[in-house]
This record gives sequence, C-alpha cells and structure tokens, in this order.
Amino acid sequence: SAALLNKEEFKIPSLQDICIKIITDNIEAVDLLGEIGVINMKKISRILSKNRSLNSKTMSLFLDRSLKELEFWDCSHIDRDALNQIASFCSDIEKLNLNMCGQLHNENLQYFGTKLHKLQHLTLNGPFLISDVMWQDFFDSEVGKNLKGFNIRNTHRFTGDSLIALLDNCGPNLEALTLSKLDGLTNKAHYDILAHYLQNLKHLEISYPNKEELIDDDLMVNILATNGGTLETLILDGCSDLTDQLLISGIKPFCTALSKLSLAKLDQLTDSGLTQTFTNWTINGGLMDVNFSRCLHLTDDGMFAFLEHSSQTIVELNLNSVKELSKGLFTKLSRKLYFPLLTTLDIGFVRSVDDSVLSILSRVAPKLKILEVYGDNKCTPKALVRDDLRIIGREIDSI
Amino acid sequence: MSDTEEITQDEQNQVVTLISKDGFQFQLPKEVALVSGTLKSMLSTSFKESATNRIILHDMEAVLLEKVVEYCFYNWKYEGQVDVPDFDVPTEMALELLVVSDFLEV
Repeated sequence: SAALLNKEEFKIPSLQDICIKIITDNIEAVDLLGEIGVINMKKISRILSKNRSLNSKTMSLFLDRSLKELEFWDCSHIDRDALNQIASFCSDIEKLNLNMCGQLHNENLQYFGTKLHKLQHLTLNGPFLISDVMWQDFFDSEVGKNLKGFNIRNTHRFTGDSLIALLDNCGPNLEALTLSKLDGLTNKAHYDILAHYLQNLKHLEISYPNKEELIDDDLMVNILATNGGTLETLILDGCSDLTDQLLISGIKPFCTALSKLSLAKLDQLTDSGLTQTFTNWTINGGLMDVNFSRCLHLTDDGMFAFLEHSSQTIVELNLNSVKELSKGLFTKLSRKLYFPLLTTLDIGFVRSVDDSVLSILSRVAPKLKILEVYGDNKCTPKALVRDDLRIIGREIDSI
Repeated sequence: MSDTEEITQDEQNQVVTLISKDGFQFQLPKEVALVSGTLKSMLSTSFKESATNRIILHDMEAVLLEKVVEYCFYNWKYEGQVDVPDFDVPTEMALELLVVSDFLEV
C-alpha cells in the first residue's frame, strides 16, 4: 500500500533479488548460506555485479585466505575500506582484476603495494583517483617490481612518468600489457620507449590513444621485432594512424605465434596490405580470433587472402561494417573454402549480405553457432540455414 | 516480440514438463512457465522444446527446480497486485538458487 501512496507501480521482486537480499542479510554468517565451489563463486560474483549488488557488504562473501585469483566486474559500490580488505584477507593473491574501480584511492594502492607479495597480474579499469606519483611509488614497491602483467584502461592520471616507472621496474618481465584509453599519455616519446623495454610479451593491447599519431608503424614494427616470437594476442583497436606497413613489415615477418589479432577502426588498411601479408604467410599456422570491424577500405580480394590463410583455424571473426565486401566474396568462399572451427561471426552492416549468403555461410562453416547481421536489410527469416545456427539482428526479429 | 505474441489462447492451456538433473519431472501450465525469460524463449522459437513442451535442465537439481517452479506460480498469481505475501527461500539455498535463477531469468 505504501507503493500505491507513492504512485509507484508495484513489482514483484525477481527470484534473483530475493536471493540477493537473503545473501546480504546473512553475510555475517556465510556458513549458513551453504557450501559452494570456487567456480560457482566466480559465477555468483558475476551475477551480483550484473544485478549491481556487489558492494562493501556482499563483497566479503568472496574473500578467502586461500584465494589465488580475484575478479570483480563492478566495484563501483565497494568503498575505500572494503577495498583494503582484499589485501588484508587475501594476501596470497596472484591475479587481481578490478573493473569500474573509480573508488580505488591512492592509499588502497599503497596498501596493496605493501601486502600483496605474490601479486603477478594486475588489471584495473577506471582507476581515475590514483595519482601519477602514486603509480610511480607502486611500481617502485616490492609488489610492483614483481608484476608480469599490467592492464589498465580509462584513466587520465596515468602519465608518461607512470609508464616510465612501470617499464623501469618490470619492463623486460612483462608478459601482458594493456594501455587503453589513457588520455594522460600525450607524448609520443613515452610510447616510443616501449620498444626498448618489452621483450617477453604474450599479450599486448594498445588501443584508443589520445591522438592517433601517437602510435605509428615504426613503433609497432620495433615492438613486434623483439616480441613477435612470443606474442599470442595483439589488439590495436582505434590506432588509426597505422597502415599496411604494420602488417607487411611487422606482423608478417615476426609474429609466428600470433593467434588473436584485433585491428578495429584501422581505416588505412588496404587490400594490397592484406594480400601481401596473408599470401604465403607460412611462419604462422593460422589465426583463431580476428577483428577487422570498421576497416572501411578492405574489399573482397584482401579479405579472401586472409580467409584462405586462416580458414582451418579461425574460431571468431568480426567483419562488422567492412562495407565494401560484395556478394562475390561469399560465392567464391562457397566454392573454395571451408571453415571447420568458425563459431561466431559478425557481418553486421555488410549490406551485400542476403539470404543466399546466409545459407552459404551455414554450409561452409558447419560449427557456426552465432551469426550477427544487424543492419543487413536483405536478410529475412526465409534464409535456408541449419537449425542450430542462431541469426541475430534481422529487421524482422526486432519488431 | 512478434514470436511471443503468436502464442494463442489454446497454446497457453498446454502443460510444460521440466525435468531436473536427477530425473524428477515438474508439470506446470505453459502460462506459468513463461514467467521465466529463458523458458519463454525456449518455448517460443523453432527449437525442439517448443514442439514437445519438454525441457531437460541438465545441471539443475530437483530441490532447486521445485523452488523455481514455486516462484513461477507465485509470480504468476500475484503479478500486478499490491500487498502480496513474501516469497520464502531457505537461507542455505540462497547461493545455489541465485545461480539457477540467473540462468532461468526469473
């Protein structure tokens, strides 16, 4: 009745809300909530994040002395004191991943730097309260020196000096590095020193730099020349200053172990670059996960060269908005290529795609499960495709 | 969604059978089963489930599934009303039930 007075519509709480309330109310007596394995704990942490219910209170459910890995998808409701509890309760942690951690304060990171002696991989998204000086102190600390993986996104306070401190302390040991959307890095010289330090990378992401000219072909070729042999993942989304030279002089000669490549929004890539790279690229056995979305100038010839090279290995492929691809490419595929492992494909906004293309894809990729076709207005429910292939985004579906 | 609007009155009277991991069967009117988002999409597509109205839930134990079915009836009965009684969940079931209800979208 209170709801009526407030003129709110009364809604029955979902079963998830009911469960979360019980969990929150009983958080002090975790034993009462029943036994549940480590895998399910991870799942529960994700479900709580999804319901925006991960907070300083529910968080304590996951703090266990024996924990080696901790991942919180949404830390926006976890306050400063609670964040310190992570380090005091789980001092053996090796991998820590905090998403949306806008509440992470300088003193939290300082505390982590004195406590988490086994920490090897740190992933932070949105730590915008951490100051430039604090970053330097952290990398100089006993904990910071040990890092093998450092992934950071979405903060303007991570500057050139922070990056130098990171590289000075851990550069040659780094196996994983992500620098994404860091608007405090505005000096090209700071990016250029990356090539001098990095030697052992398996995972590298440099994406959406402050200005496109910060990341150029020379820099990437230099990095790939020393790390190409070990590098498995390369993500350069939004580094739109990069050209065909990245492919021809960097990726082709050096990247023997590469399996995931993401080059979204690299609008200077051309067919000639792709053809030269992927034709007779024998030192690499094939890529598994590739993203060419919004590479607007690629057309049939370059794409065919790539697909021919990786057809046996490709599992995930994103060609969203590669708008010049024509129907001819797909008919050629149906005669010449077969994709035994391809599972998900996004060909949204490739407007030449119609029902006959869908049935070709259904046939040449027998394991294909999810096919996204947003914006392809020639696709209808009449397409003849396998029963177990889910097609998402047809206009008719959303009405 | 166009698919769901096509469910006719006749179909609403149908009975859906849910089968738990340990082999227990739960029968409920289709209308009640549609409370669950996941079951709703399984029952309103070209999948096998919508023809047979039998859904096997491979990793769901009977105690949990029973509670979910109970909730579906509760939600179906009281939807849109005010002053409804609380839905009772045993404390020791809360964590596991949360995982299951996330999967079934209830």
